[in-house]
Amino acid sequence: MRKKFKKIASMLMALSLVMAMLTGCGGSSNETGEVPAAQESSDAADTAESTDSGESEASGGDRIVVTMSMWDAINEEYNFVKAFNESQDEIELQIMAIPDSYSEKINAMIVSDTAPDIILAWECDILRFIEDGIVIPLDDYMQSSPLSGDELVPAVKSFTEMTGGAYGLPWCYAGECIFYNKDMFDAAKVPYPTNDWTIEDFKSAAESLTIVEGDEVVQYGLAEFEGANPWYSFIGSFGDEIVDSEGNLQLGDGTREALSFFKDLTDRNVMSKPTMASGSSGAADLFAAGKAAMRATGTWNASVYRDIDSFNWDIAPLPSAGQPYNSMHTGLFTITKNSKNPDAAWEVINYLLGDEGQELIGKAYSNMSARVSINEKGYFKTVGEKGPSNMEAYDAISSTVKIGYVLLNSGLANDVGQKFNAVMSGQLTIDECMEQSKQLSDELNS
Amino acid sequence: MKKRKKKFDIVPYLFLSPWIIGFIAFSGVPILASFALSLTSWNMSGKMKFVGLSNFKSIFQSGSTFWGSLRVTLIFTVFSVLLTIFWSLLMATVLNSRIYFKKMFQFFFFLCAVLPTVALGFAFQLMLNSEIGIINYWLKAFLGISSPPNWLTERSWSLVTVIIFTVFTYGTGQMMLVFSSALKEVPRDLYESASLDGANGFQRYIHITLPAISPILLFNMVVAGINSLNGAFSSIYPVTGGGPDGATRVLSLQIYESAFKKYKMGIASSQAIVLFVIALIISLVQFVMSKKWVHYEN
Repeated sequence: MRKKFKKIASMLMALSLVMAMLTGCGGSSNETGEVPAAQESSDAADTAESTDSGESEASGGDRIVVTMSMWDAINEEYNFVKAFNESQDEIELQIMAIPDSYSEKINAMIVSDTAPDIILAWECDILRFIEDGIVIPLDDYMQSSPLSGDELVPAVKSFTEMTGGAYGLPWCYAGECIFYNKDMFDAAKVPYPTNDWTIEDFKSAAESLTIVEGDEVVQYGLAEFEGANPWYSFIGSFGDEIVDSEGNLQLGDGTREALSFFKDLTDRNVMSKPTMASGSSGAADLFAAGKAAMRATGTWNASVYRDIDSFNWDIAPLPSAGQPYNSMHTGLFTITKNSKNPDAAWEVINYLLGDEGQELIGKAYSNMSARVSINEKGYFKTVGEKGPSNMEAYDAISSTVKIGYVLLNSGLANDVGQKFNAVMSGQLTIDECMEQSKQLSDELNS
Repeated sequence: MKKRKKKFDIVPYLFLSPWIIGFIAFSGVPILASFALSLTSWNMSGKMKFVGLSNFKSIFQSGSTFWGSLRVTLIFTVFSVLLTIFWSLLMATVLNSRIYFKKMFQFFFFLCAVLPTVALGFAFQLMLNSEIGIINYWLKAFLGISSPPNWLTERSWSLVTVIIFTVFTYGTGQMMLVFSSALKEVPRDLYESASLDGANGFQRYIHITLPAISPILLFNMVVAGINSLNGAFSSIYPVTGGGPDGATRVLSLQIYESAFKKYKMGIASSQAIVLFVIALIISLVQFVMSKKWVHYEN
């Protein structure tokens, strides 16, 4: 009897341990009520809370639930999810928030057939999604919306032509620009950059802003490029296409000229040598630290530099080296092939790309709109105490943006960016860099 | 006398079942899947295609980035294992000696080990920055070195830097604690006998302490070797991201990039299998070699 009891007790304990383990593996909604990324979209309607601050009903009720993935957090002040859900009573939008390793997790969800109805897709994924039939064309939907014709910026039209259809529409976008320290310009008596400045103006300003005392550089004219982003914009401006019509890397004389130009600045200590290994997220920023007068980086950094209180700063478009070029950074609204409610998903996209949705998104993330008429309203323009004031720079940027290198495989784009930085550090010659970059591209395509 | 028949008892297996189920679900199946995937070409979103051994052919072909990563991995593994074993043993020895403020030292030595490696990586990245980092500031201010190294972006320094960084990670702190408790178990009478025979401190350490803790030394070496091969990702990724130009790209980092940056799951799986084989060989070599220097009580 005692032995039997012992056996039953053991079995119960083992069972409870297994249950505890399985329960521990289960997901739960987070504090903001966002749907956990791994949660099955089909289950979302039953179990997940919506992101509209938890004020709406926990479940979709009779409404059709549309799930959408995104990496950014919802800005409570400009909560477009809440606004959409309050705008009608047939569809409920729920967000799958994936703040980290976004692309990896989206791909894992596609594999496990748990992808949301709407993927806010990264550019580096979109060509693969189109090729593999993961997302559907939106052309038919667009015909009955205000998004046709010249309403979208030219970059979107070029991209649509390249892919043979409108498979993704930008939710908002950012470009690249020069952030400059106005106090340093004033001290060196260098005129501020204009919105049509050239690469020679840029070089001259950087040289004048460099201060060397003894053998130590006290102030650099230009900070190193963090990551690969600015490289490709300058290479585009020097004349290279960067990406061919099939989305493959295409580097040529423009790359050589760009590398040669910046190598000269680096060798003369006008531009700082790379201090961070490309590929790692930078913890050090020479511009913010007041050690460099200029920095080429994404416009999204305006919201970071808004908090600077130690110097005055402003923005300028990237200088032109012959061909005006700026890399468009965006995320694209796409509807997945397996969506059970593609029409309802389009209703969501149509709202978010509509006047109200774009105003909220522009204000929330300080990014430009792909809709020309919305962009003119300048919802994205936010100003801090010390800068920026040159809002016309955004117009110059929006007129030159192209969806270029961002379409490349992100691993390749980063690896090639590391090669460019290796040239600046003197570890590779330009010829070696070109050869090895081609080899990387071939290895990827093989 | 009749031999008693052994009765099958399910109870121990039930107690073991949570671990067995967990192992099969979260380790066994992925390992087997990895072997299967290594024979395919798959980008996660498209159709899987059987390609036989061509992924292995591709990673071993001349000029492949895999060779560079393999070289970095071996250098990193050998030197990081030696350094972390030496450092943790040294610290454990110091903490087992008669010194003042022993608890305080133990706290500081172990503090880095309990910090998340990613946070530690960012702190190191900032400290080692050649322009605004505190290390180069000290080198200039106190040692008068006018052009201190660019620790993270010079090929010659970056690998050395990440190897040194491993000293401050969790694995080293854990080994220090294991060594520390092993040192406490060494019989005192052996030291007393050796002292009577005229052995000095160094001789006692070499001929008594090290042989006495040799099983633990072997254990730590195997764990450090496997950690270094598989766990290097978490320490290297936040510090250099594998750069500059692949100078610190160990195999675990390359596997991650192949899988989740380049979406070449077949290639990533074949690289993982190569890493598995390397870890197996290194562990086997350590065990075989250990017969010559590990002393068990019996």
